[in-house]
Amino acid sequence: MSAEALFLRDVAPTPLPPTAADLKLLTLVERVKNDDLAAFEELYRLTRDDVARTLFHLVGRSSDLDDLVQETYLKLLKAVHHFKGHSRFRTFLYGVCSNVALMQLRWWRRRREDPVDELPEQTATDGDPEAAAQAAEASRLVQRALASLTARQRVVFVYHELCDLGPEEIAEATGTTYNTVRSRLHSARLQFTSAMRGLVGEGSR
Amino acid sequence: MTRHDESLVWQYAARELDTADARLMQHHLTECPDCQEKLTDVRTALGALKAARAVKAVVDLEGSEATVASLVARRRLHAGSARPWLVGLGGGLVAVGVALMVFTLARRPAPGPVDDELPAPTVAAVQPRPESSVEKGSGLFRVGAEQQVMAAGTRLLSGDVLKTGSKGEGVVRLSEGSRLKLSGDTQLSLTRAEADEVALTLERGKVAIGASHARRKGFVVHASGLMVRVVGTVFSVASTPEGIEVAVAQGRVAVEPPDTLPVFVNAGQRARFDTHRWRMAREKLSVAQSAELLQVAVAPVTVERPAAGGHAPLAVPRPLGEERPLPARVGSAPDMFQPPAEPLALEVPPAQQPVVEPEPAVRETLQVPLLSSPVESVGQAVVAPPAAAGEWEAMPEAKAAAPQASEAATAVVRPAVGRLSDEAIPEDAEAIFLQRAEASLMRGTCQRYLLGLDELASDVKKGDRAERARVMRARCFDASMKPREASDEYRRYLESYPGGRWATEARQILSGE
Repeated sequence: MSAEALFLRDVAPTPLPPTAADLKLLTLVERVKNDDLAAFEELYRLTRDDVARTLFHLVGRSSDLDDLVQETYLKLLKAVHHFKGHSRFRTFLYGVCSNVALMQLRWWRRRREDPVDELPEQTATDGDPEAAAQAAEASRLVQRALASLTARQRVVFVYHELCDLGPEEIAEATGTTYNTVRSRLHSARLQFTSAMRGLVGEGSR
Repeated sequence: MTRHDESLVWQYAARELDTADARLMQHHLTECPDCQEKLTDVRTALGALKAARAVKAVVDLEGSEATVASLVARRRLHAGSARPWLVGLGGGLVAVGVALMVFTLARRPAPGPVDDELPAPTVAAVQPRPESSVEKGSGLFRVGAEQQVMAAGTRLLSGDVLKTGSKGEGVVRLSEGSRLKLSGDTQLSLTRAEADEVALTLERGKVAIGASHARRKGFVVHASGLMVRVVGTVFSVASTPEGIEVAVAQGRVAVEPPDTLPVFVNAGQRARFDTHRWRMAREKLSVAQSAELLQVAVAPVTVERPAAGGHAPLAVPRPLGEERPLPARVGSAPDMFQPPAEPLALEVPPAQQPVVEPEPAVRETLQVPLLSSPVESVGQAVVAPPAAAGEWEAMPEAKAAAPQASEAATAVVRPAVGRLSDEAIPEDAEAIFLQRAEASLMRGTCQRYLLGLDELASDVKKGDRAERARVMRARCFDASMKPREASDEYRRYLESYPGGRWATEARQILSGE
């Protein structure tokens, strides 16, 4: 069985039914389209944590996160009128996030900056300090391994593995096809595993 | 299974394969040591990813909060001006409504005796609503047809204009918990002083503001066309013939000059705006000035928001000296009104140091932020003199900066990779400024140094430093996605230093390579 065969088999996924939270967001978006700015503030309040977390995984650098979150909402306010409601609003928002993150990642690459040279302060949800330290270390390794991916691979990989988005949603968010997403995910997984292998080997030496 | 496909191993480990494929894979794994090894690697990667999901990054979203508030306010303003016919129509409808109400009341028969069995008023109806009032006043007046002296306890309403005499002073508590301190010879208009929105207009003089952390539509201060947007902070606005000065002791404010993008003034900073050309100069706030401002910090008061809108109850303002909460964390509900924990920053080169000299007693403490900077430096540990101890205690930021200062004082100098500077140990304040600017360039926060760098770059007597400053400005614009400005700076660099150290870089950028 080849990977290509798998792609063809999964080419027509079933869209997920909208949840109550999705419906609420859709209502707010409709209000924002009608220039109800209180709705935009509410939209910001409801989505900012998700946006910040996603951007953190996408760029892996907390010192610029506040700026990136601002940039995302500035772009969202401009783009929200193009949202037709054919997909979940969350998918649309992830699309804006990926554009902002891609710009930033490319910028760093061009400047030859290492996004993980300034890893953020992290904390685990667990109360156990040992577990927290292990989780923080794991997170650092993940960020370093993510840095070995190309910007596009990273977006797809993060959305699939850390944000629980399906390939069809990622395709919608990134403006690509389903098969392109599967292809990028495939190569990203190979690269990520290889990078992790190297990092773990480095650590155990 | 005809070939070793790591992606299938991943799908198997992540349980993405259906039963038949999973069985096939399981069978293959029993006879393929290569794939067994790959499975171990994939499981390690998946384990790390699972752990990474549980970890939360510390993020302060205060800037985003201010930006969104600013966006909304601007759109509102735009919407108001873009549809004058809508405003006119609304006004007409209101006028008709009022006329109808008056007509109905005039025709209604006189009320009869009060019914003893009327239902008792609800608790919400009898609960006293917090009102804006004068807390303390000497030489404080309400401007109107007749100038009225305002004593402590006098109730204030939206639209009131307050004025202090040359030696007067007044402290006002607004209904949403914020406190204002009016200095002498000040005129302040309470354009809107409601529980859910505050708008003040400073006509002249100086007002220090301890803004509560209450949830509201907005808190803005207008002064000569400048708009200062507040989240929850302690700051002051002074209007003088030379311009507007905004000083921030706690938190952060967004200042919006007309027709330009907002700029942020952080804790420990003072920004001066020349109202003729709208040029801004940042300076450091002295400890004494910070301490004076912090006296206005709000006392704890519980204020309830009106039921309309269905928002949560208002936050309790944080009193002076109370330990501030940890920064917001992604994944949990972040506190958007939390002041940033960054140390005070040196914004301008020494030539532009504040005109107002601090008191001798606190002069030494001003060196703390300089030494606590990320730029490595060797110096003496700074100890606050006894006379300044009170002020020191009053400033959480200053206390937080102290350990960093002593650490920096003993730190070994390590030159960073790719730096412009060859100077390992800065000999003077200018060198420190350049090093700080360079460090900020690497962190992507160089915009605040642009003014100072311009000053240095324009001074040809500075030689190598002027050259460095010019190229730093170019790189900063480049890093800030401003290619036109960056090209201009590189062009200016090449004009001044055609054979300079960074001439190749400038030519490459200008030729678009």
